[in-house]
Amino acid sequence: MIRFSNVSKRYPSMTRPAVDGLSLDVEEGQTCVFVGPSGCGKTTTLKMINRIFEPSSGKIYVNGRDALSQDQDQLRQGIGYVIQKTGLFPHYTVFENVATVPRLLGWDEKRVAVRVRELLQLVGLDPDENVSKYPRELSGGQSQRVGVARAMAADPPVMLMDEPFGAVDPITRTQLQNEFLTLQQKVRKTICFVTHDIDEAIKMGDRIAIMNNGRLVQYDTPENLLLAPADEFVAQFIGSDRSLKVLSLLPLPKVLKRQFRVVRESAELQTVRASFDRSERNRLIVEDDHSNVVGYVTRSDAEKAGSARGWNRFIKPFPATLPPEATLRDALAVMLQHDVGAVPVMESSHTFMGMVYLDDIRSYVGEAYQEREPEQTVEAPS
Amino acid sequence: MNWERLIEVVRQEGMQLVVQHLELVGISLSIAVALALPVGILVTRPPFNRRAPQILAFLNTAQGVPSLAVVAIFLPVMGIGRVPSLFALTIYALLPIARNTIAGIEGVDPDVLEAARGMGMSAGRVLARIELPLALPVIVAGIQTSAVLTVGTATLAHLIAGGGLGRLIFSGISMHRPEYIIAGSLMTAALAILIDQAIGLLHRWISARYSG
Amino acid sequence: MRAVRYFVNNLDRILGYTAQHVVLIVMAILIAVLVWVSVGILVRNSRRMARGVLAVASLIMSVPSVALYGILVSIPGLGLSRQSAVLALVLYAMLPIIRNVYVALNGVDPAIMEAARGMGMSTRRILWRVQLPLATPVVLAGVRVSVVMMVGIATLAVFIGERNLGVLIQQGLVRTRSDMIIVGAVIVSAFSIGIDYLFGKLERLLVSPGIRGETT
Repeated sequence: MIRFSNVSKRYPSMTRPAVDGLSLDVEEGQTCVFVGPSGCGKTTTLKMINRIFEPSSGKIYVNGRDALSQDQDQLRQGIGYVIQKTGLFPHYTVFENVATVPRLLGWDEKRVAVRVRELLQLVGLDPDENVSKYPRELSGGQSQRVGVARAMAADPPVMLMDEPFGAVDPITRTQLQNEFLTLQQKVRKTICFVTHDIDEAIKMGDRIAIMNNGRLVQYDTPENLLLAPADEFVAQFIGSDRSLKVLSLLPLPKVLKRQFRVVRESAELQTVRASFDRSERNRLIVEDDHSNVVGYVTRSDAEKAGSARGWNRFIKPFPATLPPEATLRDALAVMLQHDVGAVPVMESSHTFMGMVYLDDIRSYVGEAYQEREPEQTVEAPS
Repeated sequence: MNWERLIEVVRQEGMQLVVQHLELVGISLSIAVALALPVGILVTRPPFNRRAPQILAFLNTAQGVPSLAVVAIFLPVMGIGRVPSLFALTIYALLPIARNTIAGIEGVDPDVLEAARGMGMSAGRVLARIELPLALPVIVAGIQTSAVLTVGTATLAHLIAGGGLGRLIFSGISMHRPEYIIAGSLMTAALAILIDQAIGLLHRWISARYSG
Repeated sequence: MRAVRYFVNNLDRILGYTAQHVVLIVMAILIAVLVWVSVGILVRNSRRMARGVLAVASLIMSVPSVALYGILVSIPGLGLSRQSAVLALVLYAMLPIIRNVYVALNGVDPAIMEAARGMGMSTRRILWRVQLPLATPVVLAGVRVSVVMMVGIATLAVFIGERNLGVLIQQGLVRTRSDMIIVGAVIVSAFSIGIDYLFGKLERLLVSPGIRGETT
């Protein structure tokens, strides 16, 4: 979808190239995040795609076509562009801002109006309330939403985003990031995204391109990046807490223990003891007659209980549960917070799906590292 | 018109008129600076500073009164001659200097002032060390404007028998003698440009010596 | 109170002078806006050219008006004519208009310019749809300064043959009639204030509500 082929950018005033022999492919529908310290060439790289900067040498292909031999304005009309300071036109209303590119392309006004409303809804802004506002009446988060809507107006297959969430407060940033991920699930654009924040890169990217001194140091999935950094620079840039970061990328199902013994609340004590006899675990999940989980009972409590139904008073509710889409990082956080070694995973908060154990997380992460370690030593000499 | 006659006019009457013109400008401008600066500073002190925006608006409007009217208006009371001319020129020269003094001081970043007061500087010290130096470029620009205006307005002093280069221009027009007009106009223009540049240079010299 | 009596008794003449004043200024300002805004647009991308043009403009600005009128009427072909008066006023408008156009066009937020280019707007379209609309308040401020200046300077054009409000003052001077001088001065001053008001209205008309009230 986007291909850099040995692209370099030299400025007359600089001794070393700003971008040095970059080759890289971004596949259709993927988000590629360029990240690195300031001056690493990430922004220059991004802005060569829509030719805000012209490359000194090399080729760039967008959508299979040579970007450098196309008409510059036409090329740009087909690429959505979002920048940190939004660049909204202050003398245009929200409507006119979003309508900019469709009007450049000569759409009729009816179609423009329909599209603008659709887009505002898509980015979470009420069209009726916002179309006739001017940018200065918007909050930072709203401005950036309009910026995204404007970039997507003519439904370009490719979007460039230059630190789009850099200028808003942390809470709004998280919210915009999450909304954007949901949006991307729906629209599946090919996105190039620049940030200096490695956490944002890990969160937003399907692929991450780490750059330093104008060179591409590693181009990989977030998991591989965290588990097997190509060199010392990457490892340092990711930070010493990379083992923690990797937890937020690994989904629960990998360590979920699904087989579990369950007893009904209405069962006799004998049935409960029989279940314990057949299990090596020390806990049983207890559910009511509608298969809703109500809590658990321990082996020792079951042994203490006297009468046939008296064991019911030993049923303990779980201190915390996790949804199935939670990450290992969430699981670990819950375990630490409640000082427990295991947490149940519940679908829509009452359908039991399994348990997650601290030991399993530990061994899983260990394995993940071991799997990738040898690759690193093979790549090292290059 | 020929050049010889032009040079002749300049030689015979020009030098004397230039001196007269410079006297008119120099005296009225000096008095104007001496009056407008303190008044401008006073306006930015409490309790007058609350009214500073209105005073600025008034000064801006007053600037719209044509120079010819200012020179003319004192004639019925003060008669003709040098003194009425100097009086009118001084009044007219006051406005830009006062306006820029007020605007310059009012324009100083409030954060800077707060920092200065926060460090325990007295009001007088804040004025002398912070406000005036920061407002200086604007004040000097006001004096420059005023000087250029006064050089021009002083040509009108001729109309009330105040002397100056206006005499060449106006008698040239009424007698259809282009060489008089040209000589008077060029000398007035040159005078204005020279004074403008001189004040600019002086400002640069002062700020180079006293800043940094 | 003699001034009021003079005003009432000579209303016809005064209206005629006012009309002449207005005609002169309208002619001058139309030409000045057309020419100097174009020059400002032409030099917007060349700092060197802009500096040269602005240096000339500020030199002209420091030439006293009586002297400029004098120089212009001495030029063969211009002479004691309306052309000389209009040309003088147009020349005085050079600095405020070109400077404001140049500063305002180059003062557009770089992020806005980048966004405009990034969306594929052509240079011309950016000039007309983005830069000029955003520059309008500052350009208007320059035009406003010019017009207020012209109103005053136009009174001096009586010495090169114009018959406008300056006549009242000049005749008052010659005949030592303070009533005429006061009427002339008051009308000219009211004129300036009226123009200020008019430009406020004009701004409402020409400037997008999204950026209104940020300058002036």
